[in-house]
Amino acid sequence: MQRTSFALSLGLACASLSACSIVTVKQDPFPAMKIQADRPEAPPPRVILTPSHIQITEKIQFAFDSAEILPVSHGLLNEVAGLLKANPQIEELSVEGHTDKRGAAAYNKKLSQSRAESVRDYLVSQGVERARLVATGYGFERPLSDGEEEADHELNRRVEFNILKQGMKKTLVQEN
Amino acid sequence: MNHLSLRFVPYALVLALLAACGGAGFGKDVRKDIEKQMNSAHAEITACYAAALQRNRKLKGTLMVGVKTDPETGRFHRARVKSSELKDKELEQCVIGTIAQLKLDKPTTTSVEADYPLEFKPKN
Repeated sequence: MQRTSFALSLGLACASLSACSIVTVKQDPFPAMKIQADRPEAPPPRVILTPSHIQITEKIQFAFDSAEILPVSHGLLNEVAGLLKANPQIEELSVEGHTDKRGAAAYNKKLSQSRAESVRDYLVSQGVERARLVATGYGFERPLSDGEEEADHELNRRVEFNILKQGMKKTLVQEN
Repeated sequence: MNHLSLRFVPYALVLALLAACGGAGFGKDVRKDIEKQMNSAHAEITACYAAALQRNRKLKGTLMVGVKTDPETGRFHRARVKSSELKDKELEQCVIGTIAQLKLDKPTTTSVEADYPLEFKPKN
């Protein structure tokens, strides 16, 4: 019995020793290494809420002579949608399309209307209630500049967001 | 040696061998060596993170890196991502690439495997 026990133990010892040479020793987890780096400056906000309108600091880009919103502007419109969702007190917002003076007035009006509707539809696709948005195309009826330079045309081609109706902003206050 | 003592010799032998085996590549020295090598990569890993913050200034979280050393050379030849809260492949690859260059000062007789957490957090 004792011999068997000894032989068994010796066998185990040999097996352990041989396993030892091929086994990978597992370490306990190490304490976390802290990695810190400077964050770049936050870019200035592209979408600003004012008492009368939503100001955007970049232009919404459309495909040439089309109401198709270019993907480069999706991020900007996502921010507009986020702002609208965070501000339910804005009950009605006018999405207004404007063109430059070149081209036929009727055509420009139609194009600006289509573009305003495209922007409205995009905002709806991002979760903004359709009932809060009114899309209107003004063509060249409301220019910002009467000049003839390309810079003037560029200034006039735009989308504006004007607040038509708003209620009180509700803030949650915790009761004591 | 009496009869009772003899009975325990094989058991003691097994325990001694297991302890010796467990000690191989497992000791404080190896642990310190791994920590030393990881710390030596701190600046490079920080540079990886700084570059990643340029892409995404909100990037933060813990990256658990699994390392396995080569018994002969001590090189961290199998560095890999075990888990990540970062969700940024470019940063993960940069960190893994840096760690894969590391090497223990004193190679061990057995391969050593360790999990090393890295906690990324912006300064400002």
